[in-house]
Amino acid sequence: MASVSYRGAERLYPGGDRPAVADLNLEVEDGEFMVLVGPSGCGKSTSLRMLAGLEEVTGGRILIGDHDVTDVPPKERDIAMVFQNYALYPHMNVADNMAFALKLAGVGKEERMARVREAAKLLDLEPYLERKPKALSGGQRQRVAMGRAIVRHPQVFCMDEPLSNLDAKLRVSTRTQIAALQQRLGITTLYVTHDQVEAMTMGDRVAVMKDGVLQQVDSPLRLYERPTNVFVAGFIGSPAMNLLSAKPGDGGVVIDNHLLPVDRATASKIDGDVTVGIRPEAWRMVSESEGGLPVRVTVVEELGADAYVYGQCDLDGVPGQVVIRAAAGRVPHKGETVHVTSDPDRVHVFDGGSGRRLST
Amino acid sequence: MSATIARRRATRQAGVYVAAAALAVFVLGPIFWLVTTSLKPRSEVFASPPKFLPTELTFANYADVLTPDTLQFFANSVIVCLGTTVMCLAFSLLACFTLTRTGTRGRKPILVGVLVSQLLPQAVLLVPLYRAADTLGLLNSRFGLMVAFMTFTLPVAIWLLRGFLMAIPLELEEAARLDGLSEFGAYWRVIVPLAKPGVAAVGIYVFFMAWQDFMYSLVFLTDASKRTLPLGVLALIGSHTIEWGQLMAVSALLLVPILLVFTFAQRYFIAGLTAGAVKG
Ligand SMILES: Nc1ncnc2c1ncn2[C@@H]1O[C@H](COP(=O)(O)OP(=O)(O)OP(=O)(O)O)[C@@H](O)[C@H]1O
Ligand SMILES: [Mg+2]
Repeated sequence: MASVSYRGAERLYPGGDRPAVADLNLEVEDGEFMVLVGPSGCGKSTSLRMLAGLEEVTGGRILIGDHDVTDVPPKERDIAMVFQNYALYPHMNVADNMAFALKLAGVGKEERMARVREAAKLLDLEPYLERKPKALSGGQRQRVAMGRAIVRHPQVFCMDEPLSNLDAKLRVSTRTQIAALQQRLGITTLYVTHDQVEAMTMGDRVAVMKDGVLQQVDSPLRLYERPTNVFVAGFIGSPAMNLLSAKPGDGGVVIDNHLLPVDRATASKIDGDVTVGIRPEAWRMVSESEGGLPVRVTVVEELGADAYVYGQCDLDGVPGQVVIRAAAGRVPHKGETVHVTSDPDRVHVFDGGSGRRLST
Repeated sequence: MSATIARRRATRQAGVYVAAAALAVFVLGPIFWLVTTSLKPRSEVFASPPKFLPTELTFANYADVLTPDTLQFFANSVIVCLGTTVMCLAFSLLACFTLTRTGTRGRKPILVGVLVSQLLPQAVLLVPLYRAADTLGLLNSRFGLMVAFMTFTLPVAIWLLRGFLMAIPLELEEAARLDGLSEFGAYWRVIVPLAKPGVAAVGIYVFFMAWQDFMYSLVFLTDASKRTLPLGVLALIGSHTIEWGQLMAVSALLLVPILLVFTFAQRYFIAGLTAGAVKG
């Protein structure tokens, strides 16, 4: 078991003008479940593959424990990887797939079989040990891929979107299984996904990337409550945070003539235009006379306990989209105009130019 | 409405059968003629009008050609062609490791070079190869002939194998490397076994490219005891007479391994040739 550290790690593909992963600094603690998340092409897989040794590191170092593995071949890194398409050996049955690494490592047959059986039991794979991968369902293949990783008792697990080939329902149940399994085994894990719900529900901590640059590393809750910039604010959370441009005002920010109060410390940092972020559940519906932002309701998504209300507002002549979470019984109708405001401690303020967080 | 569709389908099907029959006549006709001629007595070979089926079956032609010499030629052919196949597969698999699985610089020019060398007519290479073999003392040796055969089989083998190997997902190699194999180990123990149908198909193809060679054998081999079977056919073409019945009998013997291999390995061969198209 071991920690993982990226120290200014960089991957520049030959012929590329910009690194796919730039100056990555990330510390993953021993036994931690770290999720790398970000939009497609942001460099998540590349970062993971650099750790596994499948991708050359063109700058910086990568350490496992206190061992610098930057120039160590993959087979000596003691990392097990679960691939998106599982990469099971089609010519071997399930048991041999799982035992292959152990066999190469010179583990005796008895011990090999014992470990395979143990993993198979853990993953409900016992009836399938003799089958070839092509005779398994997608979910079973996924479990074999997991089994192949866990029989090795490696230092680190790397998983690259291991759930993306499963249907929605299976994905949700497998997600909890993997998280529980990881906790039980206590093996340091790096998990790549582009699905922020997966990231939030599985990770001890989540690293958000964009364009090859790490944006923020934090616990899921901290990411949700204190996004460090506009990108993270908009990426984490579903439906996404409302991001509206605003001007500085007296004791707050002004969105299309409506003053939204912010706390004093934040207000003192504002200079120039800002972007205001408000989560759907942070809106408060008020009467017209209280001076909220008018929003014309266009779509109502009833979820039973509450509802998401989608509407349009006017931002100095430019139409803006707003999502509001409304409690059951207080759900407005389509076509109605509601007035909304928020509270100082629930308003995120970001610099209009750099997108950096200004709120404390 | 449905009647028209049915009629149209029937017409189309009839068309397909006619085309298939024409193709069969075209492809199988010469083979049919070869086999029947080899079974005819000499008097019927030139009968006019031609006899498509011999009225009297005879194995005399086979008895005449099945001499110890012919058997020696046959054995020579098998040895040379098997040797060529084994060496060719070994070299092309090694070449394909570099050409498909590593980021070696200059892969493109090498591949193009291989392709171009294969485009040259074999006759063009004959004289330089002869001189080279002469210098190296490889003339009149079965091993020398194998080396000469590789000049035209290896490029084809490399290109065909490359296609099969590239069709195998890269992740499998990566998984194998994380499981504890070196780059070459992953190639040799995971990728190549997965490409087995392709390797077999290429092996068969190489074997028959060598099997049907006449020109190189004629030029490289002088010693009668080392001759290959196609050269044995030549012996039956005298300056005054041609023993057509015997000629056809030897030719039929040349066909035997081809038929055997295709009967037993055709599933492999077809699987190999279509492997790239379907992903598992
Ligand atoms: N072999 C390569 N050569 C050149 N550029 C590459 C190569 N592989 C990836 N890239 C580039 O590097 C960037 C990061 O790719 P990467 O695969 O890490 O993205 P990702 O975050 O995993 O995306 P996804 O969610 O779509 O899998 C992309 O812009 C991609 O185009
Ligand atoms: Mg990826």
